[in-house]
Amino acid sequence: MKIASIALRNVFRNGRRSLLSIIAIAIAAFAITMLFSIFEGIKVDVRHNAWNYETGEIRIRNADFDRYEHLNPVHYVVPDYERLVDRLSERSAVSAVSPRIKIAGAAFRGEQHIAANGIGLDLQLEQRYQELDTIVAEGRLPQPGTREAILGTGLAEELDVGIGDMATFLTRTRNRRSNGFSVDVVGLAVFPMAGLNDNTFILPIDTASRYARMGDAATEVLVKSDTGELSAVEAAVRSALSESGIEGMSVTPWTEVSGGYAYLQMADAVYNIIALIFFLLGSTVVINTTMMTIHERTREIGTLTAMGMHDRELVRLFFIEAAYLGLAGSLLGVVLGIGATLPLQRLGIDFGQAMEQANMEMSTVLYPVLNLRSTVVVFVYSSAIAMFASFFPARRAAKLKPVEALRD
Amino acid sequence: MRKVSRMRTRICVMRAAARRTGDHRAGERRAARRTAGTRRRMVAALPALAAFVLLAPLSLPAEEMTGEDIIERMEENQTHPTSIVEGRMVINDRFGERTSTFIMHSEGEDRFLVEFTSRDEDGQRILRRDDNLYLYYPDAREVIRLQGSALRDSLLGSDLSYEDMTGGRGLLDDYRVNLQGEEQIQGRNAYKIELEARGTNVAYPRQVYYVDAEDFVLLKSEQYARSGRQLKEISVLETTRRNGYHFPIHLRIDDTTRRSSSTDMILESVEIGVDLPSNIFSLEELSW
Repeated sequence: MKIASIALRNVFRNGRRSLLSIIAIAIAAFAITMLFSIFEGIKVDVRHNAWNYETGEIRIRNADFDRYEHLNPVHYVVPDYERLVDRLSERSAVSAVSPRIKIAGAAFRGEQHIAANGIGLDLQLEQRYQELDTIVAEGRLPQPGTREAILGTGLAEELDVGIGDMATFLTRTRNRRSNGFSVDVVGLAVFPMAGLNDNTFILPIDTASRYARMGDAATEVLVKSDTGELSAVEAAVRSALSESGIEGMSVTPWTEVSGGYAYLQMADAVYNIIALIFFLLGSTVVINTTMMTIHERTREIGTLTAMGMHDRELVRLFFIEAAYLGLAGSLLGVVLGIGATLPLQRLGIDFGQAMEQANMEMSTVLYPVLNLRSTVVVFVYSSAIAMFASFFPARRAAKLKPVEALRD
Repeated sequence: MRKVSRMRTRICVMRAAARRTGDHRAGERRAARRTAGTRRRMVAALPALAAFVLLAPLSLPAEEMTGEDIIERMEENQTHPTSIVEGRMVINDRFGERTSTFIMHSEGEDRFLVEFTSRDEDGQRILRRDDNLYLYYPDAREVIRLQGSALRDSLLGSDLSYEDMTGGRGLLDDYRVNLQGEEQIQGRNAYKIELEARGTNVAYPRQVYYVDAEDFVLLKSEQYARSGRQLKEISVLETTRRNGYHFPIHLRIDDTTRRSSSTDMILESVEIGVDLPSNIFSLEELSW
């Protein structure tokens, strides 16, 4: 307790140096808190986009479609999908189902050949699956049973069409034939993933089925759960498929096929390395400050040891001093990090054109997410590293001979 | 239509005169000169069905003919006033076989209307008028005009591209011709002729044609990219003589850039010199 008081007094005695250490640690803790919040935001965002626009939490497809995906094998379908959707909806592990018909096609404007991907959605089921209304930038969503469509803003611009206009696309049918069809544009969409804006349009699943001659089949069925327990959902999906008498399907968790998930796995390691570098940079300032302090206070160390203070107590003294600095810096940094993250959680960070070019599964506007666990980890690590950094200079100080120390 | 018919009559009269005088070659050349500039050729793909359906004229000794002569004779074979052709296209790829049936109406070498009659494509039409290609689909409320890079798209997923249907001018306008000798193709004596593009406005920078030395019918052709890579191969598997005309009724097209893929074009009925409705090649009629 006495040593703790001396350490605290020393912190204030060397006010400017202590402040410098606290600021260094605070900057590192702040940056890492922000980094982890952004990374958490990216994780939530990539998962959201993958589940809604790419793979679902679990994706059901014809196994041969997966095998020949690069050849756009539209004839490999999920048959009798309505029955399957009914069976899936009965499962408690399944919270939402989205059958989809994908129409890979093209549109033409003058000599321009514009790639366009249509997604036929069951607009009633989709309301449970995702908040589809959020993509509507102008106009409205198409109505079931009509030949209406909502186009990505970029695609509409490329085709030079707006609400009330007609757009015509070429595609391939289930029997691998060609078909052309026209849709009435009733809305313009801004998808979270910028890459979708330039080539995606959404139309009712019944209309897509008619144009692609799909009959009772869908290209894929996406499944979501509330629990997030992939194995339980997967088991539920398999039993629903078996009950529906549908064979030859692949049941794939998003963790196996999503490019975004693979990116997250890679990014997880990279971000931890970046965090470590930040910690190390902060630590060098602590080490430097402690060493300078010891150098300046050599006489004082000599006096303390001459008065009978043991080596171990001396180490504790400097260690506790560093702990005060570390705790103060970490606390300040984490509080600042939380303070900066909270408003950004609502406002988001607009990466604008940078993300539009990136063609990633990340949204253009990213919302950092404050993760309590990672914030606590940042605080504990920042403090611990500051203390650890002080250990070696403190031991060096303890090894000084009192006579030599007093002579300096 | 009448004009083309009169020309064909003139050619026949002149050929007869030439035969009488024993100067076959001179007769043919005079006829070809008179028709030069007015005859345009259908050179590939679906129009090739009708394009190949032509009279096989008289044969000449190989040593007396140049590459240009042979190409002119072959193209005369590929030109007819009007026709109605019914046929089917069988597309084979790694996923299996599918068949599309069609009826094609054509006039001269740069006007045709193909209407698909198979269940999956019923009512779909392709119109070529002059140098333009239009697509009509019953589910679309507007006609699609194909231009630029879109012409390179595959026709119904076959080994043919829309570009193959748009050959306009005669081969001699677009290509330099080099007769490379004779080869045996499917047991027939054939002239081997290399064609090198004069400019860049053609689908294939280099082609090799094998033309029957007796009937002047194309037996086989190979299409190459500028790099020398082969792009396509068209083989005539079966020909027939009907009403004095000698023409292929079975062609196989291989897009050599696609694995395990080939397209067979089979003519099941051909009528030549029929009267066609005057507006059959109009855009209004296309979407009606």
